[in-house]
Amino acid sequence: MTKISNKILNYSHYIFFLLLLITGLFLYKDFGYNIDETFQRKSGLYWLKYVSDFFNFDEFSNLVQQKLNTADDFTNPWSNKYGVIFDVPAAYLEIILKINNPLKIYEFRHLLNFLYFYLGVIFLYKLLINRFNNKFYSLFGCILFILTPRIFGDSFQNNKDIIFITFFIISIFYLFKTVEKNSIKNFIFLSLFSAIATSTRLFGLVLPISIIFISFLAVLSNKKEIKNLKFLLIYFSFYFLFLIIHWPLLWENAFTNLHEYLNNLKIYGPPIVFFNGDFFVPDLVPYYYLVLWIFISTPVLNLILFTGGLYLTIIKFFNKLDFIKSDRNNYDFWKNENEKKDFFIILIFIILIFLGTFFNIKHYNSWRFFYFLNFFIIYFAIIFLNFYLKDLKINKKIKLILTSFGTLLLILNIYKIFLYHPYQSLYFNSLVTKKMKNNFEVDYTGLSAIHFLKDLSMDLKGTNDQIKVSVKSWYPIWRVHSLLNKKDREKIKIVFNNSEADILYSNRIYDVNILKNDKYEYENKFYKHKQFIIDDIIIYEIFKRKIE
Amino acid sequence: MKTFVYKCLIASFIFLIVFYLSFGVTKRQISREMSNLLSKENVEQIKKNLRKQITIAIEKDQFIKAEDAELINAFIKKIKEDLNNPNK
Repeated sequence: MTKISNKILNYSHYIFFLLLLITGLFLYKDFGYNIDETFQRKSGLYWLKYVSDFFNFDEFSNLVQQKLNTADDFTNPWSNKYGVIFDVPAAYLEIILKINNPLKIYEFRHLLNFLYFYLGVIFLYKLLINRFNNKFYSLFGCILFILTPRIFGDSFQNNKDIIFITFFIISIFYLFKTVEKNSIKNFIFLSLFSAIATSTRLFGLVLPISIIFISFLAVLSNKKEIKNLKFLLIYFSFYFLFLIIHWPLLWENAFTNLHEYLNNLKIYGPPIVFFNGDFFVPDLVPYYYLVLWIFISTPVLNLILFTGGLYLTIIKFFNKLDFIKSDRNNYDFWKNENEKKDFFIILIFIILIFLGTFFNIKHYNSWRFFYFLNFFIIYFAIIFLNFYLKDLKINKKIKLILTSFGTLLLILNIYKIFLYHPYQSLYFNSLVTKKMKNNFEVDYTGLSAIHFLKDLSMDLKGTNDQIKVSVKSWYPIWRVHSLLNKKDREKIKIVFNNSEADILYSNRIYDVNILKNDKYEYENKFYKHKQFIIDDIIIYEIFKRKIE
Repeated sequence: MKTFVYKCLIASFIFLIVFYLSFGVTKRQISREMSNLLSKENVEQIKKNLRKQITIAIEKDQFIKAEDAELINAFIKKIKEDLNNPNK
């Protein structure tokens, strides 16, 4: 029996990854379209054209130009200052595979998005094996990660934050490798992936900053570490080299463009954000914005395990302060490689929470810019699980009750994944009351718009009626309208003036404070016809014109 | 030396947190109030309220009490007098 269970455990990761891949392949067409996707597609085609021109691939460049002409994005101010690691390969494959139907293009991007995420989960598994050397823990960590509804939902359509999580995890994996062995190969890989993480999201900069800080502490602890500073030099040389090589933005005027990229976050974003029942300017949200969002939208099981793990780690390193000696032969904050890895993680986590809470970072769209903090949540959760299963000495009955409670929470999590499908990105946990759920921004990327249009086209099936649709919220519905088939596009006409509209769609995201501004009242000419609700959350609303 | 560096690092970190949680919170609240006060919505709301109050005033039979009306009348008269005779 033990032999069989050992065999199952030996192959369990293969089964898990196969199942995850199959699930992704089956589900990738279900999800809605993220407001940023047209923007990112254009960015990919723009840089692909730039690269083709740079290397004088004239024929290919013409092909890209033709595609670029179809990728207009007129709602937002255009910017080319985004990373290319997802967008350029996506644009290249779109051309090579001759995908021309708009719907197919975005479905393909969703599949690719999922494959990047899949790569991230593989590296998460490798990383946890590297740290805990236990297949069960590593697999459990991956399961907790993919069963985090907001991560699961976004893994199909968020082509910035999910891509960043993937490269962030890969970077941390190679960081752990360098902790084990200071080899040039490991440092080159670390510099490559942290450069890619930096170009994908500005928060990638936290990696080189933490590496400098840890090296400083290591030298301070142990003078022998000075000889390892050469690796730091190698890391930074390759980091900047890879940053320039993989990112065409830096091929010309590198410093000016890098400076503009660093300021990019300040330019974009909505003028106002709905948070905890009130409207705020995005850079003046309360300090508890990030922490509250994490608390209300992370599964309860993850929260409990994470809190336990974080507490254990902080206490462990805090206690070490008592034993610091003045001699410089040993390290002050770690005794072995695993403790050094944990120290890296806690340090990066504290820096990030500090930055996210206190710095004037624009916060909007829930906490999606900080979704990569889910990696830390999982890491600390597994630290607690390790303590709970190995070291915690409590009554067996109590342990059984606690384990059963944990299993129940995991089952609840799986149920919620099914319940929310395909809106897992809009998940709130069971601790949040019905009233509170609707006191926050929900469908900020307009995932529900395509489902609204498809439902409307179903209603119009068999008729020759044409219906005029507009919006009653801050959302460019015309972007998804182009994804409908020709027949439906003819039946559903998007109008820009609400006075012509028969029906209005609202994803309940606004650019003005609707508690004070009547911009979206439209002189009370419309009444609420329907609302789409999941788990007490209003996803979208439909308004119809009053008959006069 | 190194204990001194650690102590400095920890003290600076605690100082920063205390600073942000005290001065930072107040500063942010003031900035938020200012931003709300000067926002387009707020100005529009003030205008709207003003219009509403004027309409209410017009619709009332008597908006100003008799004794107030007398007082205001006398006050306006006085202003007029002073304006007409600046070198009095």
